[in-house]
Amino acid sequence: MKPITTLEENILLSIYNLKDNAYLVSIMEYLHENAGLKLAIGSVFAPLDRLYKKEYLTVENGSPSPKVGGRAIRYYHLTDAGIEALRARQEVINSMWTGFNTMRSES
Amino acid sequence: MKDRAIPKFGATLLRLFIHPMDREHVLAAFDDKFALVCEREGWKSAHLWFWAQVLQSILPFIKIILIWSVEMFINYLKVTLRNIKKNKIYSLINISGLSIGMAGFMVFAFIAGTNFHADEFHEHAERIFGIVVQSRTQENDTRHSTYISGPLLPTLLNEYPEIEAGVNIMPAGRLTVKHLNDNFFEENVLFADSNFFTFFSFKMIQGDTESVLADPFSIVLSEAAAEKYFGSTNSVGKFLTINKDIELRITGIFKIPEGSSSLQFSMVISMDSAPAFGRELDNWEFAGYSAFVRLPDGFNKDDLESQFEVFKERFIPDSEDEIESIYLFPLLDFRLESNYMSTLMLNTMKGDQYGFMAIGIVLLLVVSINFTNLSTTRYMSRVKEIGIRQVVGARRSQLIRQFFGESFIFALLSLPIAIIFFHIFMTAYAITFLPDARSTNFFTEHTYVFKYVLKAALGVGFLSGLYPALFLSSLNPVAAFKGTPIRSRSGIVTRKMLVTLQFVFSVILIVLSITLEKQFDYLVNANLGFGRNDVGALQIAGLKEPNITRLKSDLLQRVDVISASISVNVPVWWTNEMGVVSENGTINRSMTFDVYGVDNSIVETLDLNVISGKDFGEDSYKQGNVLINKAAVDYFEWANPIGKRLKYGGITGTVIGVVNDFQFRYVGNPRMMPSILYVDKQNPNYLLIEAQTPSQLSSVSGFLKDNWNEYSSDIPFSFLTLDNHFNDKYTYINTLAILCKITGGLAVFFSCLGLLGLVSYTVERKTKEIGVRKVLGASLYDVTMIFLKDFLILIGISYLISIPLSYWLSDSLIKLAWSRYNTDIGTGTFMIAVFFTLGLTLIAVFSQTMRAANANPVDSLRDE
Repeated sequence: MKPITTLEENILLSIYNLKDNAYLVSIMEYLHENAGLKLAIGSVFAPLDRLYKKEYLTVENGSPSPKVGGRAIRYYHLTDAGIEALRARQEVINSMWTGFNTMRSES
Repeated sequence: MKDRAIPKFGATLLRLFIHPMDREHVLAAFDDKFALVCEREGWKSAHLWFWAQVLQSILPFIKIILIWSVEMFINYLKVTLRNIKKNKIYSLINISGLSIGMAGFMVFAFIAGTNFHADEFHEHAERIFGIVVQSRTQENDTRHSTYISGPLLPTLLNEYPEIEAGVNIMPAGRLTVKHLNDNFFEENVLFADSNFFTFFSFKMIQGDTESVLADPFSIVLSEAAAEKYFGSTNSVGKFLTINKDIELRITGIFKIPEGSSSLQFSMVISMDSAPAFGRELDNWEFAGYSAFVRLPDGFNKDDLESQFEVFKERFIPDSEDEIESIYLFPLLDFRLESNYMSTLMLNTMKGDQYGFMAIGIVLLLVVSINFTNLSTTRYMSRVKEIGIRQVVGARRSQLIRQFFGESFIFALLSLPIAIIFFHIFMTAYAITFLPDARSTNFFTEHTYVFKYVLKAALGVGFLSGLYPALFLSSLNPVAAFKGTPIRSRSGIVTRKMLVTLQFVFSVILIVLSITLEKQFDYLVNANLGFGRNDVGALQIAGLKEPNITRLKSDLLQRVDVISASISVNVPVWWTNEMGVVSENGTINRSMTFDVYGVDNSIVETLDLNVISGKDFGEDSYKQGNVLINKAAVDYFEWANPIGKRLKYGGITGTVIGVVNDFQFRYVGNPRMMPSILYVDKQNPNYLLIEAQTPSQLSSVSGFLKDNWNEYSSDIPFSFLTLDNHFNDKYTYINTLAILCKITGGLAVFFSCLGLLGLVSYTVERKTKEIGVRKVLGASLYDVTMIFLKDFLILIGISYLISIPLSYWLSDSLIKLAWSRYNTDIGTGTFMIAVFFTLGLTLIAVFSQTMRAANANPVDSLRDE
């Protein structure tokens, strides 16, 4: 299992939450709205490409639509490995934050 | 709707940076978002947004591409390494072949590169110029010379403040260095201005670059000289006695890059000390200096040169030889372009260097062909891999890239090995015949060799990959799986052509090396018009007069000495050109003659023949009488030359006799030089001694050495035989022959390797045919002949091309270089080349076919 970065984590979570409507633009918007990240298309595409190569994502080409100049939009879905990676990430975060939470409750 | 699409230009731009697989959907995303922004904020801000997006996105896109190509490369590397592991012998042959070839190329690149990159180690070398004077001699000759008078440079610097810096140097001629009780000659000593070491960038090992030459009577030694006299380089502060009584203080030790510096010297003495050696500093009449100037960055030298006309008129006094113009010659051009002038800078012929480079490149071609041959041989076993790649969707361009990638990887893997081979060759072997290889650190001083070899490696990678990439990638996958590729016929033809080409190169190189060897032998034994095998030369420069006469008469009393004669120089590689005109002659234009200063017994000592007139003799031995050779008579077209008067170098001489043609100078001169022998009493530099037989020269030399103290106490004893001296001077031909022989040997080796591959490939393809033939009753002889015939035709074709070509090449080479003294190439040379290559061909063919022919036909026929 290859670990993922925070950006990759955010992207995977966006795809998960967007369900069947996860493509470049929607992911970008989602990241903007929920995480406050303002990213360029290229900057979103690069980690997507990476995640795809790590096999955390599958792709599905939509039917060409006139709305986007007759081009086909590509939708992303999480694979099991992707979900696994998110879980692993969550565990890391949880274990890292444990001490912090305890300290807060003590004070 | 159309307005909602992203700008066309932007789309094209983006396409460039996106991998084809992702282009569509990424552009779709851009479109989508663009439309969205358009709707929300209007067309204008959408454009603004778009371009901002493009700018921000390009970098990540490029990153992705880079990652992709690295991954592709890693994939090729993996496949290649896997192949290397799988076929160890094949890879070993390939890599060693490539590295040997590249190492050989490096040797030639080093030889030529030393000259191409000469003097580049100086800081600001491209802004340094030598001052050259073009003058017209009294005999109406145009001369270019870097030798100028001493005050010229200071005046120039004074007049033109735009000149950044300038340095005056002056060769000191031959000095005698006294050390302990021995005396040594030092030839390469310079006087130089105090800024010499800051102007040029010679490396100072000890001493302060700025001040080593600041004080009078300082001397800076080369590392080699310091070791010669003091046994160590730690000699700063010690003293050296020069010319009997001049004491010079050693202030520094420098290191001079051998080969890459055109200025070669072993010691530098501060210019202020020159008067002590009898040199005048402010004499406009004495042109013994050389000067270099450095111009500011971006300054055009033509701007300065155009003012020299006025400068010349104002400052330079009239002299015997009229100065026509002064110009600046780039420091970096001296090595290759300064042949036409007289200069103290080392120079060489440009053509020779290109010749070296060409031999190196031929070697690279041969190894590239070898690689091509071998990889095509292995092509059968790789057909399936290629087929699978094609089936799973590899495009042709990808396959091409893969094969190129493979050959590049092979070439690059061979590179470090080549460098190691090169280094071993240079340090262990080349020092015996390449002076530049001595005391050279290739990794720091000759970095251009590595630049060349890197280019060579890339070139080899490209050339070797070319044929496999284009040929193997065009396979039909179906045929590939069947194992019998449709286009194998054209493959065979190409490979046959390549092997033929290799043999052509091999034969040419063999013929060339044999010719050069014969040429050397020829020159060693050539009759140059004078007897030299029983003559030795003793250095007597500096010997006082009564001693010279006593020495000469002592020698003549010995039974083993026939005669002795005083001369200005040694009659081997002796050039002393002067413009000569005949008094009252029909020809007014001067002609370049060689003018030799000798004494009255020269004819006897060198066994010259007096054709007409008389020898100097005791009575006619007086100044102004000259002997000329037949070429001079022919030039003037004199029916009766005796008594004619000649003008040379401001002197008039009367011809008293004519001798046969002789060649004291370098034998490469295209015509027999008309020459003058005159009696010179001013410069007794050598005593030429003729012994009864060549072997008695050693006893004469022994006698002289033992009794040397009786004649001189402060001049070093130095004796050489003309034969040895001659061989030393011409030994570079041998060097060339050795280099050609090594290259030729390698070429033959690789050709045979290629042939072996070709034979085994054909044998493999014809296994069944052999089986059938044997079953039908063919004998071993019949089977062998099937193959042999093929290859004999092949090699025959290569002879048809190579023999005339190599004859023409070798013949024109030796005629060009040693015009009148060239050997016959002779049929023997070609016989050797033919037998050698033919023999190896036969061995290669037999070794492969015998195996196939001896095999039991059942084995080859069973598998169907």
